[in-house]
Amino acid sequence: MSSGSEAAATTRRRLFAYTGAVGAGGLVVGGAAGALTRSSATSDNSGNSNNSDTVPAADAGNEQLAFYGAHQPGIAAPVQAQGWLTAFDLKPGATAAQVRSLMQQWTKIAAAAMAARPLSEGDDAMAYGRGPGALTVTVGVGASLLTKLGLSHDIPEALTPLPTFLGDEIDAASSDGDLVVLVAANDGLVAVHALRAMQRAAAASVATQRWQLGGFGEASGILPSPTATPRNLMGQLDGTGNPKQGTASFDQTVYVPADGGPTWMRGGSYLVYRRIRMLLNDWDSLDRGAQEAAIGRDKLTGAPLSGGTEFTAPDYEKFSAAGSLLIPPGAHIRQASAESNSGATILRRPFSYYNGLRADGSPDAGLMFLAFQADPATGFTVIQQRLSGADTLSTFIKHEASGLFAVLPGCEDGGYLGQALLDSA
Amino acid sequence: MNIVRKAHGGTPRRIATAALGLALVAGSVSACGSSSSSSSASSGFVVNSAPSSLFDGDELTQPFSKPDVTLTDSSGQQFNLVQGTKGKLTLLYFGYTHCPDVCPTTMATLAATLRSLTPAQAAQIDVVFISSDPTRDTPAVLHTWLGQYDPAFIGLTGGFTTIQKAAGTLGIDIEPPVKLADGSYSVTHGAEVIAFDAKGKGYLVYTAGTTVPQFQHDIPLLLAGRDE
Repeated sequence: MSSGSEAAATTRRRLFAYTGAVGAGGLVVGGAAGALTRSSATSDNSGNSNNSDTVPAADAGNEQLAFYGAHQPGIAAPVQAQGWLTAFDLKPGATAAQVRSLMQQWTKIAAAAMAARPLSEGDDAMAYGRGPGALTVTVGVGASLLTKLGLSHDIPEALTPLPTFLGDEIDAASSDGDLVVLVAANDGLVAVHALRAMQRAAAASVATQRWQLGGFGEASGILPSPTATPRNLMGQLDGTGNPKQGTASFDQTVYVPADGGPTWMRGGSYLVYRRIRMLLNDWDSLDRGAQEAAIGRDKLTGAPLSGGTEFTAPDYEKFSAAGSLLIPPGAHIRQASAESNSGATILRRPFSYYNGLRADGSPDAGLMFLAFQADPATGFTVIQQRLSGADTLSTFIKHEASGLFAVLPGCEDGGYLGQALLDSA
Repeated sequence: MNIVRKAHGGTPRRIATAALGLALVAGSVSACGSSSSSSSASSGFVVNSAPSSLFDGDELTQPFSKPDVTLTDSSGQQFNLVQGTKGKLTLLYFGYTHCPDVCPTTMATLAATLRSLTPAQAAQIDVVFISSDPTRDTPAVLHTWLGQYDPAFIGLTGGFTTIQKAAGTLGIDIEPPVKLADGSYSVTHGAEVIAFDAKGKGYLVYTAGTTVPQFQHDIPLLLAGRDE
């Protein structure tokens, strides 16, 4: 947000004094811990200044991320409580001009909804009275979009389709797509309000929905500390090895650099999506020691089995007195480590899903795996090539859907997402 | 030749002693990076210790002949190694798809190397992966696993004793996979890529940890023919 007056004009609820905190157009997310900037207390609540690391429940709905900036904010933001990933395909005959118009509409919706302002067109009041809820809207495009628009020459090498990995059971109909939107917030209704507006805009113009997956992360304030690593449905801490925000290596890992190519992706990122079903019944049959051996970490503390605390660097060469590797050869953290994969690192930002039972009686549950990186060929692909054969954990999961998308750079007030690609198209 | 016995499921790592009677020229091999794991422990080859070697790989004074072995390729067809790779620079590796250490890295390195070459150069090269775990590495498994890296890679599987014998002619001593009490496997695999020139002579070996630039350096030289 760069305009306080804009925000002050209309708001769904009482205007909180967030604009000063949000600052002049930059990302709100920042700092070593990547904590959200939170709105300050209301004037009638001024005695209750929010100076702790935890968010009082009453304030949780007021967390706001700035939409405008060099990068789309949904990449670096902490995982929210609810998220939906939705893919669209262009209707036959759709033109670049029509896609440009849709991107402009989506940009308007994202900017307004992330600030908890009413939508300028056809707001359904679904989120009336609610705060921003740390909403993020993140938009990407698939290689197929560029092909359909006659822009094949603009397809980055990084959008080369992922190979089929050993063990893949990918359902094509719930994979890929011309456009993808990740909408996430600490409140389901806030997220769906924005998503539904985007779906309406797409359906009314050029795109039909291809597939959707919903998932959940952490409710604000539920973790032991704001910087604690989340867990997944296997009960394991998931994300300990992520690059740390506010570091140069984070930016190098995640974003296409300012001198990178193609020019329309500078400041963007590449999203690898995998719907990874967890074979939870099989997993549950393992005792805790076997589960820890599959992962390579203590289940409760997250410490590597070579010792220390969660953030102690694993010692992959350390042996027990009996002569076995403390972190077993097939342990997930060994196989996924940068050391095992020519330095490959990715930013994992997954949601969990838990959607009832399959026909065979097993839970349809797992990970909406979302990984951001500057180059999938040296990121996800290198890691998954190794994991598919060697990772013990791979015997307890199934990759069932897949997608590779160019997540567009952020935009400035007055611009729109995808402008550098579509203005010239 | 060294063998590396992979320690799965808690078995201590063991490295068998060189058994071929080849004298090791200690030290002074060219500076191939080696990985931090024991799998790269390389010895047993007679290498050319001359510091003036053109190659980044370890040059052998007594080249190997390409094994004349017939196995099953990843499409299920019979494949004779000598006939099937005739006239090609052949990069040969013995490994297995469940390998937790150097096999995936080696394949990724070779794939990245080939991607960096011109199509004309790449067309003169065959990468051959022979499974040391042929029961689990069916043609279909090899097809998918190698396809992750490069669909043109040749994967071969077959009877273990046939594979063991072929490896043995190259000084690579592999042993039958053993299923351990805890359900995991102990599988041996080679630690080096052996490069055979277009005439079928294998006189360069690349230890685990050899980098893409090192392969990029040597491949044009190998394609040009040995400088003798």
